[in-house]
Amino acid sequence: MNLYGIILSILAYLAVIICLTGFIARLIVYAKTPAPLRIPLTPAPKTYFGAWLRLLSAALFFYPLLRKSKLLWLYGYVFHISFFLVIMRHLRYFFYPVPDFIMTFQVIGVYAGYTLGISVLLLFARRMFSDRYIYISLAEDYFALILLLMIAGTGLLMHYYYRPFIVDIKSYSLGLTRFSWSAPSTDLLFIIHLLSVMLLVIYFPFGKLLHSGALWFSPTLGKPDDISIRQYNNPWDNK
Amino acid sequence: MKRKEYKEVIYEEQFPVLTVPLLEDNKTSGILCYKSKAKDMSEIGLPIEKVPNWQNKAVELFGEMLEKYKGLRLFMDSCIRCGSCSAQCHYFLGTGDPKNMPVARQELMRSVYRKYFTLQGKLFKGSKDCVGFDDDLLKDWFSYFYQCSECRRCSVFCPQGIDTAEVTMAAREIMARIGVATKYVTEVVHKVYTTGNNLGIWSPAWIDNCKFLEEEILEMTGLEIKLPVDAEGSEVLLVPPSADNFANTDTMIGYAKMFYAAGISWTTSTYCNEGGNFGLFLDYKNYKQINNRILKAARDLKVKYILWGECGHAWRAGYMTRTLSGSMDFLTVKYPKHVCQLTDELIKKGAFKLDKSANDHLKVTYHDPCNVARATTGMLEPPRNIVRASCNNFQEMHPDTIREKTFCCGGGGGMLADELMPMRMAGSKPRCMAVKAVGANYLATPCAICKANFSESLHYWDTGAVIGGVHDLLSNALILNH
Repeated sequence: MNLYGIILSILAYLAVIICLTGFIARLIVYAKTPAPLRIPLTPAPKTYFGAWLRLLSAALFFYPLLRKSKLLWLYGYVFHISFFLVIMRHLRYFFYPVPDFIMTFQVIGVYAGYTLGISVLLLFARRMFSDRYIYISLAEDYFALILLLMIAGTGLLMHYYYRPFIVDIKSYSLGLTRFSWSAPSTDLLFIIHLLSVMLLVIYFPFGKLLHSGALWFSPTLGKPDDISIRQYNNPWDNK
Repeated sequence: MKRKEYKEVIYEEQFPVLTVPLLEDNKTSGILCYKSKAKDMSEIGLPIEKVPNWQNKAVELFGEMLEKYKGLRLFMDSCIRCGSCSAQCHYFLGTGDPKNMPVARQELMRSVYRKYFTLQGKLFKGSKDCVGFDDDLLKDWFSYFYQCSECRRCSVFCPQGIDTAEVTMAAREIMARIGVATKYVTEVVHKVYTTGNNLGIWSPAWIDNCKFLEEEILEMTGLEIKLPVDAEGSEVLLVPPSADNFANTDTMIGYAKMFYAAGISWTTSTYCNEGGNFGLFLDYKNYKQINNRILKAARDLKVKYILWGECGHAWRAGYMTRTLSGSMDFLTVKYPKHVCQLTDELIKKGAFKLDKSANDHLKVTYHDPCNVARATTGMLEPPRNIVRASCNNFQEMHPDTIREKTFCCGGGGGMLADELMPMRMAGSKPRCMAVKAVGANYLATPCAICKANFSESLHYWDTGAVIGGVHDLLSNALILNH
């Protein structure tokens, strides 16, 4: 165990703590903010169950995107699914012995690495090739995409070309879960990979990635049109 | 920035004419509403001019809005700038000004949000994505938040369900409360308090107009059909847009004949002869006060229930009545109900004898007003059923331009001011092109603002169609017993 291992371990905890506390604090703010005036989107479900289903279909299938751009839907959907599969594949670094269900993601997770990289490239490219997207893209959008590109790129390179010593990496990640710290591989690729992931995790509750949490509170997608059967009062205007 | 020439067709089949325009920076930034007058502002409880130290006040108000509205709070965080909405706004399609793209319009507010309410704003002080309140920004707010008709079309295409109307409303309320508002909206709000309606029709004139319409009906049908005013103990209080009494009189005649045929006693109120609520375009306080009048009128006239007339934002505000103005339990219909819903129910029950051939000279198509179709209840079928029951030649427009994807008329959201005429005509383009493509000569719609704007724009875009109400058609087709 050396200084390198200690710093990376502390950074890992710090990143996770910042992400979780930041994200949860944000969700609490969302939950606490009142939504006095009902603004469900047409065609609005009539019941909470229906509204919940619509929210779920927006979250799982991104259905509003299908209304306009099938291509954007495809990029976005492939990106999210790939990212999910890649994360599932990486869970094996935190378990010993590795549970069977995580093992099922090992092969598909590699292909997902490719589709992740390609979809991020496409998402990047579409911000470059149309006037409208150039106009609306902010530094933050490019930052998130570059970060993801670095993560996917270094990940794939490590899988195919410059394989770091995997045992050290696993003892590092496993050590984090068991509070018995150890130093991981010192390969440059791995360090870039790990630090980019940490940066992404820290950035998560402070920028556009909050859309993952905000969606669940949406007053437009997640509320029913039921004013005819329910009396809603405005909590900050009780006169 | 150098921009490439490209052409993107929005509607492949029927609409080769409607393409996404090339971007032209600041093309419409100079199309401004007139500033509000001190007299109107003071009468409706707003500062008469820009308050001193307005920047601090505006930040404070922004914080207050964030705490009051979940929508605003979420929408400030959750935009991923995917651009799905970017070519969905009729004002963008009509003008090509990039700040009329819904996402860019929201960015005007979101950049301020970042500056004052996020970590980014504190870390990257000089970033152009984090902008503080200054005169340039306020000018942009005043231009572009009064170039949004709060029609919510963009929200239909947003994967996060972000509603630009919520952002626009919040921005307008912040501006109004630091003393920056438009002459048109504040004047109308003031008129409601003094005369009871948006057009400023005094009670004697309202009563006189109703008498005049009674004579018209007598001439047309030979029947004495009343348009009762302030008739206590009637079954229904009708809250029409005041324009129906004054400009769209065929619609008013339509209501009268419908109520007569159905045998329902009804009345209008001179205290509240307007459903249209311009408080919606200004601030919550006026929004609520204007809406409260409807329930007061219903109590005073001891009616059984309230019907909202053919008016878009009246319906949007009306939908919120129970939240804004309190319980409707003293009525038999304990929730907001639209006159089209009643007529549709009655048609289904077979209450009317209808002769569709009376409208055979018309090729009818139906325009969903944004606030009737998309804001809140999504009333898509009832008006269509009335149109279908009243005429033989009915054809829908392109599926991407109707129902929840309907285009705004171009004049909604407090934008019906004369000085905004270029915006109104530009914003009307997508809808007018769709009317043209379907070859209709009559555009039916249940909204007074749509009627007012289309009466200009259908001509401007050379569609060969005229605008009219839904009850106008019913009125033509209705066979009345002598």
